[in-house]
Amino acid sequence: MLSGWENYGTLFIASFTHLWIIIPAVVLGILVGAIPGFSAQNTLLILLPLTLVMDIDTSMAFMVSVYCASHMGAGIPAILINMPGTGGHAATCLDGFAMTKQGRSQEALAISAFASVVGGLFTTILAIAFLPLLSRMGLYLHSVDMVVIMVFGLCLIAMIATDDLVKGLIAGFFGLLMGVVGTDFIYGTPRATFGFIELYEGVPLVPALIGLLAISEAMVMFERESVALSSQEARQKVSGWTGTFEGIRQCIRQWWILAWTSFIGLLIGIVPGAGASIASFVAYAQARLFSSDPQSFGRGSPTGLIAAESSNNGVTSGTLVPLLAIGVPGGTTAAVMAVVLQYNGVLLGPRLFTDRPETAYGIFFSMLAAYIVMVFLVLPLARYVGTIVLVPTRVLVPLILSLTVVASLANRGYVFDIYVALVFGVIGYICRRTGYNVIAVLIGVLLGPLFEQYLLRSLRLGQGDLQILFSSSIGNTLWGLLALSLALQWWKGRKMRRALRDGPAAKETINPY
Amino acid sequence: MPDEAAFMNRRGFFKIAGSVVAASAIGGAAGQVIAANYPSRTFDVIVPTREGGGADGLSRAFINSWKDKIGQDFERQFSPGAAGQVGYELYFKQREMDGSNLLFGNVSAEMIMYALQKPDFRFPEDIYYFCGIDTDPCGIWVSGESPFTSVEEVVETAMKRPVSIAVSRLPHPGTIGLLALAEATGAQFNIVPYGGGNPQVVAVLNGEAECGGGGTAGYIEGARILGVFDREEFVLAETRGDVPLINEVFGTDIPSLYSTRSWAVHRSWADANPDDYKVLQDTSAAVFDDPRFKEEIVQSGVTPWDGVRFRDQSTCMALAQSMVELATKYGDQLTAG
Repeated sequence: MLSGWENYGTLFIASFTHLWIIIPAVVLGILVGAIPGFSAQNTLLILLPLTLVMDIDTSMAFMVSVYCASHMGAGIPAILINMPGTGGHAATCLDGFAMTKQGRSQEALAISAFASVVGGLFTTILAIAFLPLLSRMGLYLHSVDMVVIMVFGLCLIAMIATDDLVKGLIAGFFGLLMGVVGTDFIYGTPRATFGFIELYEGVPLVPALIGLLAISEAMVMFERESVALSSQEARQKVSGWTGTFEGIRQCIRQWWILAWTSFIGLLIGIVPGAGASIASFVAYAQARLFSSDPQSFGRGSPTGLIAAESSNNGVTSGTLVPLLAIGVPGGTTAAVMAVVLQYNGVLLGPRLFTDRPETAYGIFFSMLAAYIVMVFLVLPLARYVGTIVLVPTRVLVPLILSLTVVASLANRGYVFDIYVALVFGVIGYICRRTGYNVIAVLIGVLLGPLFEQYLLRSLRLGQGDLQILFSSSIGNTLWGLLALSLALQWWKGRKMRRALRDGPAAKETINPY
Repeated sequence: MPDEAAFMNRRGFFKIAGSVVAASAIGGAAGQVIAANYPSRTFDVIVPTREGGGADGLSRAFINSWKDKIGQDFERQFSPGAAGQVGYELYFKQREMDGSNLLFGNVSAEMIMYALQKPDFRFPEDIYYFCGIDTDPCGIWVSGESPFTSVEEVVETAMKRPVSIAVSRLPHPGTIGLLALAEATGAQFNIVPYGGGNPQVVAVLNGEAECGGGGTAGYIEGARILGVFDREEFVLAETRGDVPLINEVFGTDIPSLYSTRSWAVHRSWADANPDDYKVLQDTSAAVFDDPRFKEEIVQSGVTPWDGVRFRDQSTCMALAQSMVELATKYGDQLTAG
């Protein structure tokens, strides 16, 4: 174990000796993150021969930098063209793209960059300081506790569907229904795959998200001249640095939300198999719950965007904790890192911290250095990248549609996935035109399979007895918090409806999703 | 003119026919040259599991030695899903049977999948497993903090109440071992599949499941192996220490149950091209004598070296056949219906 601030300081300074590899890795990470469908995992796999010949500290600095930067880069297409490259960035689209439509793309990009970097820095520092404790925390959470965490995420369906609860719930259940396609988690029997082996692993997530959000949005865009609702206003907002400074100001002003949601990301990231998809929606729901203006969520709320982005980057620190502490990768990218660590003879597990503390902690210090580099590389870009909002839709829409093809194909390499994206694009368009909530469908598709997995596992452990769901003290505490959250949500909604009824001007209640 | 034309046509016909015969002869010779030059292109390998796992590390280490011996490189495609079914179906439906398309699979687990799910290929008609690499003996293990200190205690408790046992997936030789042990002793095991080795390990370490069932080759700090399903010996004794054989403890006759990762190829190609198939077999067998292979396995720790041993086609195919039979026997408990 490391002891003493001098040792931490030495490792921190040592991490900057890898700047020569961290800077290109951050640039590469942002690029691959920004290309929808590509991911840190794919990139690291392609570059595996390169990382295997580097010395272990350099290769880990390279990999964690690509990993963190790709998480941040994936927010760019989510904000600008409503195209999430990963499940973890679906929540970013909710307010990020809404801000773009209001001509506030520069501000949204600055928020994304600042929240990602600060969220990442904060959780990395926490991971360094409390690594032994956090590694045990991952072991405290059981399947039944994860069921409750999933319910927290699924409750967002009801929260965002307040305008038309029935349609919202129908959309949510439709998404959940889509989520059960594929082999079942207990026996491995294919369900509703219609003989397509490409569906055995379930509905492919990235093509489904791209279809539901990006393709359906592109179809809607055809009907307008510009992405922004007012191109003149947008032109004013993207010129100069005002948007960037406003984004930073929003993040600083809401430092508490940033810290809290990135901590949620860290905790969920520690649980192997959970990941950014759950973290971002749970964090988003939490931010909405405690917001004084929940109605602004989904309509371009900086708070919603901060929650989604900071939790995403909190996950990056979290997934490395179980990998190093017990030798179990918390996610797919961590699994690739495990290959490199094992190839270099690094024994993962508790002994790593006594035998090679410089490697174990060095990984987190490299992450810290990568985030610091990102501040200087990314924030200035917001002003220029944000101008995409001025591109006319006759140019932008074909570009988006061609990107969707690349993005759908890139993840698994199956042509089938392009058709999946198109089908979900049509579903998304129909939802938008008929008032069904696209995001509710999306949450169902995204969280449904995970919810089913944890629920079936818990029921199997309890041999079918539902009481197992209330058998864990952590789970019971979470159930209590969930009930409190829902009661608070109901009370706030009631208060708001009363205020609207009594107040002079009613707020716009059109479903923003 | 008609006669001349006819004559010319006949001459033309003979010219063309002659050319065709000559071309066929040259082509045939060229074909033989190509056959003699097997393999003529990079091998495409389907791995029916996720990257980053044991199959990834093991196949990488093997390829690093094999590519020099066979003179071609290997390109791997990871196609996980449905206990290996996705990868196998892709291999048989979408890959040409030309000897340059190989499969790297887990014989035991995937033959159980074959018996239970009845996919669109036939065993043993369509496939030859020709080079088994490792042995991962199946057994019962617990975390360092578990109250169980022996396999007798586990069974004793399981005779009074169900004991929860985490497995990576139901179609696995380890699950069959547990079902056979339960059948022989009257123990009640609540077998819970976790969809992968990593969540299974976490479940045992955090006490969600009382024991783990399945492979014992993966290193888990602090874990204790209580017993293995093997008729003869615990092959990993050198690295994992002495572990009792479950058959000896309970006087049962459960078959030896272990996982073996193996290379496989389309059987029709192998039968039609015995010389080329021999090249595959001979060069892959030679990898086991390469010190680089051993060095890489030991360094990466992907599997204990004492579990690495060459298994030829007949051994691999016999293992596969026995797994199909066992899966059929316990099919009712391994499937939904």
